[in-house]
Parts: sequence; structure tokens; C-alpha cells
Amino acid sequence: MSKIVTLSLLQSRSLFKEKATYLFGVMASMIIVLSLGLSSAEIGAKHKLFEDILLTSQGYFFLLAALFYAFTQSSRDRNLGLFVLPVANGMKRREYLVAQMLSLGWIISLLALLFLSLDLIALAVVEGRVDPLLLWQVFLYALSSLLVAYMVMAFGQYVSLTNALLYSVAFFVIGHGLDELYIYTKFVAETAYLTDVMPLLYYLLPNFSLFDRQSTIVNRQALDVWGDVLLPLLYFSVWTLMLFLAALVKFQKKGLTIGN
Amino acid sequence: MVMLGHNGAGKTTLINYLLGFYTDCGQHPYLPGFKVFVERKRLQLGHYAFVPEAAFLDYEWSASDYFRLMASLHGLKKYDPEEFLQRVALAVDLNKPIKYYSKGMKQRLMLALALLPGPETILLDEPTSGLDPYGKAAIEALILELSQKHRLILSTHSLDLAEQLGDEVCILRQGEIVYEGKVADRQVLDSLVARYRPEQIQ
Repeated sequence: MSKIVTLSLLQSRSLFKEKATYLFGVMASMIIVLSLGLSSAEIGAKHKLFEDILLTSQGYFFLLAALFYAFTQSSRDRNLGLFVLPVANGMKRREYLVAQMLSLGWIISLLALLFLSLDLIALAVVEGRVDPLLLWQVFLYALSSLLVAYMVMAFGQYVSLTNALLYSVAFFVIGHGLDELYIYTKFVAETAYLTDVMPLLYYLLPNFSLFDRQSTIVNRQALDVWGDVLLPLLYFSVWTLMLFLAALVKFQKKGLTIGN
Repeated sequence: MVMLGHNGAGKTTLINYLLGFYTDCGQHPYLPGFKVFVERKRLQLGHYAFVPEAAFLDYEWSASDYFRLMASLHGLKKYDPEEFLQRVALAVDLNKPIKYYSKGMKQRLMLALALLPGPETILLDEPTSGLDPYGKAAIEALILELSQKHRLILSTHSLDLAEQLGDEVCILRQGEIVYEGKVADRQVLDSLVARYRPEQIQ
């Protein structure tokens, strides 16, 4: 276990040292400043506008960061052959994959911590109090972006990294609209075919809409403990495990040569 | 054991196969020819350490990072990096990224890392490649010293080193092991290498 943690920490530190991290830091600050600026405008419900902008921009920010770090980690790994030293010195391939996933976990957690801290300050300034539910949504966005990062890593075992990136974005977009599609087919669509197929797709495709509880939170509606708290956590764990296994099936048998 | 052969003969492929980087004989055209040899050698490896060419390192990491990783890979709790750096005559700031090291310094660091777990066998892939004559002589002297206490499996183009090690020699030619055994002296080694030199590289 110690070797997995050691390697993952070293790898995530390398990711953190990427120049883009500074850019992400600037972007994070800009998001807060922009939200603060807009919150001072006299339009409608102040807090709602502020929270909506804050959360939406952070959701996209997390996605961008996850894609960047997953792509960078995988491309460094395959182009520089960084797997050589650990794997040649007794680290099992499955342990190496876990270390890579953990490394992405550390870096996304760090970004989440950064945002949570900035949000705490911004919320205290604008609203004079901190609604913990808003922070829960930031955490859910961090989880969903981590899932996208794991997708890039897993798909990257089968196809080129550029394709893996595109597929992951596609899954994210489709997965984000699944809630609306499900409701549409259930209540509006008149095609029997669609109503039959949709429930299957709803559970089969990575359902990123489960991680988006923004409208419920911003509109101050109560969260459902199962649907809004436990289900996303469970869903994240199951998909993480599935993506790990998908990556492992290929990685376990792969001829490890540089550039592949 | 010293592996000799022209560029593309399969030395690195053979080491990678030995280390388990290939899982199936179909993954490289040379592998079927190496299978029996690799199976036999794996039984003799014992506790081993491998350090790749310095090119396969993250240059942002420091020597201290690599020692930490190597120690965790081999389950070591207590170690003193300075002790191993001294053994390879390398004086560096442990926390400085290795991108500031010269090639010779990186190779010395690699040897120090290989020594850390106290392995029975050390595998080295062209440890003197790209070094200037002085750097090459220094690394070769270190390798000779290591051979007193450890079993070595190394690939090299240096016939001088092969001669000085006086160990078993394995000559490769385009994915085939064409000679395996001890050589009596430098003259025999030269003639063997000349005999198995490919007329053209495919």
C-alpha cells in the first residue's frame, strides 16, 4: 500500500507543477471575483444569481482541469515511459493503475479544497452566512470531474489519448442530459421504442446528471438523502471500479513499450 | 552476464521481456526466439533491482524522490540515501530536480538506486550510453566494483567492459541469441563479435 501512495503523491506533485495549474489558480480567483461582481447587480434574487454563476463556472472548471490532468498524466506516462521503474521493480500492474487513479484523486481534491476555501470566503462576504449545501454541490462537481478523468485514463488504454479525451467529453455531455431525456421520454415522448430503451440507457451510460443538484440547492429545496447524497457517492464508487477494471483488462496484458 | 549486439539486435527487448514488460510472445517479433532463454534466466534472478536508462525518468523529481520511491517499491523503511550516493561517488543536493544533473550524474544516481534494496541481481540497460570517455570509464569502474558483490545482467556495446567483467557473454543478432558462454580472452571475444556481426541490418 505504501508504494501506491508514495508513487501517487509523487505523480500528483508532478501534475501540480504543470504551468496550467497556475492558470487554473487564476481562473478560480476570476470565477469568484466575477460572481462577486455580478452579485452586486440589482437583478432579481441576488443570492440565486451569484450562486448559479459560481456553481456553473466551477462545474466547467473542474471538467477542464480533470481533462487536462488526466491527459497530461497518461501522455507523460506513455511517452516518457515513467511506468518502467515502478513496474520493473516489483510493482504489480494493477497497483500501478491504482496509483495513477489516486494521483488524479489527489490533484482534483486539492482543487476542490481550493474552491471550497474560496467559496467559503465569497459566501461569507456576499450572503453573510455559508450554506453547506452549496459546498456539497462543489464536492459533487469534483467527483463527477474525477470520473471523467478516470474515463480518459481507461479509454486511453484502448484508443489514442486524443480519442479517449473526445469520448470522455462526449460521455460527459450525454451523461449530463440523461435526466432531462429520461423525463422527456417518460412523460412526453410517444414512441414506445424510446420509452423502452431510455431506462436502459439511463442506467447503462455514465449518468452525470446525478452529480448536478445545482437547481435544487440554489432554489433552497430540501435534498433527498438517498437521491442527492448517497446515490451519487455510490454511483461514483461503482463507476470508478468499473473504469478501473476496464483499464486493467487491457493494461494487464499489454506489452509495455515506450510510446504505446 | 553481458549482452552484446548491434543496435536493434534485441538487447533492450530481451531485458524488457525478462522484466515482464511483455506478456505474450506475439507482442514483439523477437520474443519467440528469446522465450526459452528468458524462462531459464528468470529462475536465476533472485531478488533483483532494475534501473532504466535515465531517459525514462521524471526530470522534475529529485534524487530524494527516487530514493523514496525505490525504498517503498522494495519495502524498505529505513535507508540513508547519502550512503548510496557516496558508494557511486555522487555529491548532489538530494532535493534538487534531476533535470539539473548531467548525464553522467544521472547514470550514477541510477546505480545508487539499484544498490538501495541490496539485490542479488542488478539489471542494467546500456549504462554507459551517451557518456563521454571519462564518464564512461568512471561508470565502468563502478560497474566492475558492483560485480564483486552482485550478479549483473547488463547490455552494452563496450567490449572492454565485457572483457574486464570476465563474465558469461550473450551475443545477440537481429533477435537471435547466437552465442552464450564464457570467453577465454579478448581475442576470442573480438572474433566472436566480428563473426556474428550482421552483414546488413533488417
